[in-house]
Amino acid sequence: MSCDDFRLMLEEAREGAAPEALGRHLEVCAECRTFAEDWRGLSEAFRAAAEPIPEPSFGFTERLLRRLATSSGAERAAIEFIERVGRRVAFATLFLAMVTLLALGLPSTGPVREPSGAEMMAQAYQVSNSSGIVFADDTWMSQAGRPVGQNEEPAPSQK
Amino acid sequence: MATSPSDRDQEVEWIRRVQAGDREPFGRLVERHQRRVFSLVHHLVRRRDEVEDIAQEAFIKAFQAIRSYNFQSSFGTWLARITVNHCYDYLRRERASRVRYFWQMGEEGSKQMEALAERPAKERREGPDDRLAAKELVEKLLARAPVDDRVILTMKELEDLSVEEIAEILDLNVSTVKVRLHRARKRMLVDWKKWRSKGPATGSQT
Repeated sequence: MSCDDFRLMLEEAREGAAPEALGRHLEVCAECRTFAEDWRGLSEAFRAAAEPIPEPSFGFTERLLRRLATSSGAERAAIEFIERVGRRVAFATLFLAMVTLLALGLPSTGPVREPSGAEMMAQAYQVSNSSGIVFADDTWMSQAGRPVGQNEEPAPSQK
Repeated sequence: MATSPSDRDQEVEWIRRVQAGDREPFGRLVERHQRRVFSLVHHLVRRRDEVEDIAQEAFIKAFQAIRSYNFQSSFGTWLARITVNHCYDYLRRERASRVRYFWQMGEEGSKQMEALAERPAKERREGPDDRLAAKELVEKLLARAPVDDRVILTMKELEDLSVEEIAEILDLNVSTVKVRLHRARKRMLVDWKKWRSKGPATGSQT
């Protein structure tokens, strides 16, 4: 028998009585004695490493059965579909809500309208009157919305 | 676990009902075997925070495969086989993303383990600190070992299963299990001796 055979025997012997042949071999083989000693040390470390087994937490079986229920075929597909649609609806709602909030939160300036040509002319006319400039023909101006009678030249008196 | 003949008969009835599509009796099977499954997962994976999740996944796999159970081995052994295979997958994934223990342990833990390895065996089994250090040492040795060694040594040394039980769970013959155990022990002893041989060297330097 080789040393390997005796070492195999040594490992098996831990469960029962050591065979006589093994004892005799250990007496004469220093290497196998060292092996036996090393292995005993490691076995002790293994035993020291043993710690209490964690208990299943409360409701473990119920949770497992629920998960099994949801993981079986059609039911699972249905739940996944509902979840997927539900997620999309939730995202869309969230998006709309954010857009609404942004719209409400922005300052309301309203549309900016360019002044029309007539309004610009009217303003220019008012400025010119106050500074004494006379337009050659202000008929056009009156048509453009200038209040009738305002800033009109007084009619020459007929005597 | 099933112990008496009536327990076994009841278990057979539950299994047949589950195989016929009734989910409810599976809960009873879970309650009967959960301690064994938790123990296997705990010893093989050695991550307390993940034991329950992995055990749950193992039970789900068993449920999905229960129609293939043919009553040739005991349900406990069949379930243990599924659990061990699931842990194998987990350990391989974990190994691929590389060992947490080394990083979690850090320099402090490594020094503590070296100190443990330096001390003679008689002094080693004293106090909670030594127990903690021994636990870390075993964890480190197991973490370094190939997954096959880790599984078979854990089943033998921590789960205290017989060679015959291991053979049944791993679906191997008894002599193959003996040889694999012997090789795994030899490899682990090399690692163990390396730690021990560091002791005097470190001591002489200081």
